[in-house]
Amino acid sequence: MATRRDLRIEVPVLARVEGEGALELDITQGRITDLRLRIYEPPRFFEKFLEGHAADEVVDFVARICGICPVAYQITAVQAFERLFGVDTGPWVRKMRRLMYHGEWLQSHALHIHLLAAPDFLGYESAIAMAADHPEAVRRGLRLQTLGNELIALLGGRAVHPIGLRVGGFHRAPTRAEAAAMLAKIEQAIPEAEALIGWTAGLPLPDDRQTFVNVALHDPEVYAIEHGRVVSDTDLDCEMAEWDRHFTEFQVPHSTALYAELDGQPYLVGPLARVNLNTAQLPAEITELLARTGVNFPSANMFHSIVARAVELLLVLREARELLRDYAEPDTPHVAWTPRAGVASWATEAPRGLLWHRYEVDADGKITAARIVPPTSQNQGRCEQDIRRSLESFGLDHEDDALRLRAETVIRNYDPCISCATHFLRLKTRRA
Amino acid sequence: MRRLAVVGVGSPFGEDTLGWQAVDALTGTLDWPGWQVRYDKADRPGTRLLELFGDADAAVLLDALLAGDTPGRVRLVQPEELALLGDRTSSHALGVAEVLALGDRLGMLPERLWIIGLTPGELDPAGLAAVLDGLRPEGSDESVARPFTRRD
Repeated sequence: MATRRDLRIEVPVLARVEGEGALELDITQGRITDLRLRIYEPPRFFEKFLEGHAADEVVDFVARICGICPVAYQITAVQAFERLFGVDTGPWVRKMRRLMYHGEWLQSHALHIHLLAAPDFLGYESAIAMAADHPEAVRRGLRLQTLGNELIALLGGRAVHPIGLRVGGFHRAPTRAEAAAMLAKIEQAIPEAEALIGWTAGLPLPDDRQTFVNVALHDPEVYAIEHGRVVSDTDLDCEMAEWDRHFTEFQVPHSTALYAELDGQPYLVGPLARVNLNTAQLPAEITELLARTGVNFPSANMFHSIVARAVELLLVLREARELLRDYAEPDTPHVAWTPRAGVASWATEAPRGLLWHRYEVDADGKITAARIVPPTSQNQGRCEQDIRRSLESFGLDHEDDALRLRAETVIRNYDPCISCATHFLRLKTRRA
Repeated sequence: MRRLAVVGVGSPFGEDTLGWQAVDALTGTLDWPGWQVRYDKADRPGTRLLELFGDADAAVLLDALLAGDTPGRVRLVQPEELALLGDRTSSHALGVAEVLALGDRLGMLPERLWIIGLTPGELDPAGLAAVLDGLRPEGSDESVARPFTRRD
């Protein structure tokens, strides 16, 4: 009979995740007795900074929350204000907001697939080590990431912390020539993105099926990105403004990021949840590509997240192609508006999942209270649950290093953005 | 016309502004006959650093350097000193040394790359100009710090 070790594993600083976090794991008599995904990055108090500022300032402030997904924060905020102020931005602005969001999904998914997640599945400690044996895959990741950045800059002026958005529209419209040049690059990238689905599905992904709740936006007309209703596979279907009526946020001592639950249960947000809940809306060509891989959605295998990212990467490139083919310069890239007192709320799908904003606004259009619920904090509970189940399924008798690597692989699979969530990883494992 | 990329890494605020200040001081001042110069400033660029090099034939990278030098000292960074550059490891923002190693492995670095280290303190414009004056855009120069050999 195998000896049941008592063990404590500590990963003091998680690598290949954004922000500062750690994992602490206690194994006693062959069972996990304590598991904490410890987010220790200091709170950033962003919501408090926003108080007293005008809506248009908030749009630029919230871009600073994250260097990877600033567009998500900006578009969520700007659309919350526009709804409260009764601003009809018209079809050109609506299309361009979605196009800008395509750029963010593209760069974020390309980065995560190639530089952050793939090294785990291919057995490398880093993308640099992986680049020696798989240079073309890493180059592809960098090319697609660059393209996403260029798409953001087309509308935002620059890729990081863009400055092109304003309440009512955009500060500037791209010229037809700029749009045509971007279209040519996107058309060139689509075959690479089509091949990426098979490449991700062909990675040696662990087969670890679990039961979990998926939560994402859903729009009957279109694959939900910048608007939709909040739905789950447990029959939740609510207006985005009602998010806080159904979800509960709470604090735990070991994390500076809040946890969130739906009906007392952790839940999943992000690419896998989105593809699982919106499978029927995938274009036929993507469904056909998936059919050749043997990966089926909805999927209960959390490691299919990387395939879901590849699916979404192709989806946004195809949509961006259509939007740019039809591109016409508007008479004006923004419309006038006047502030109104009330509560502004909106939700969008950031690359890592559902992002919810709520602002209380006074008659001058100044913020009196703000609340921002990012995807990484919503995923914390599900991630802890996943690590526990994955390690038990993997086998707790494995060597410490193997357990540590599997735990880190699970965490990185969520592409956590700790800096967003604190407004995160060190693994400590203790076998007693 | 050959292309030179001048990239300052740092932050617009706080103590890590030197890379940005250096680019501000250099903008418009570099006159290399036959070369087109592009200036950029980046805050924790991660792999975007390779985008900023783009298809440049040569690049000058300016970043803060903690090597125990006197405050404000400007000097070329030698290959073995790369680890001294600001290590901003996170998944999404590889440190400068990591990105250079990745770019080297993928053959994505400019043919010639100089890294100038700026010791925290007040920027020394004369010291910066003296280091820049010593750079040789073309031809062999044993004194040139070329930490990586481009592999195509």
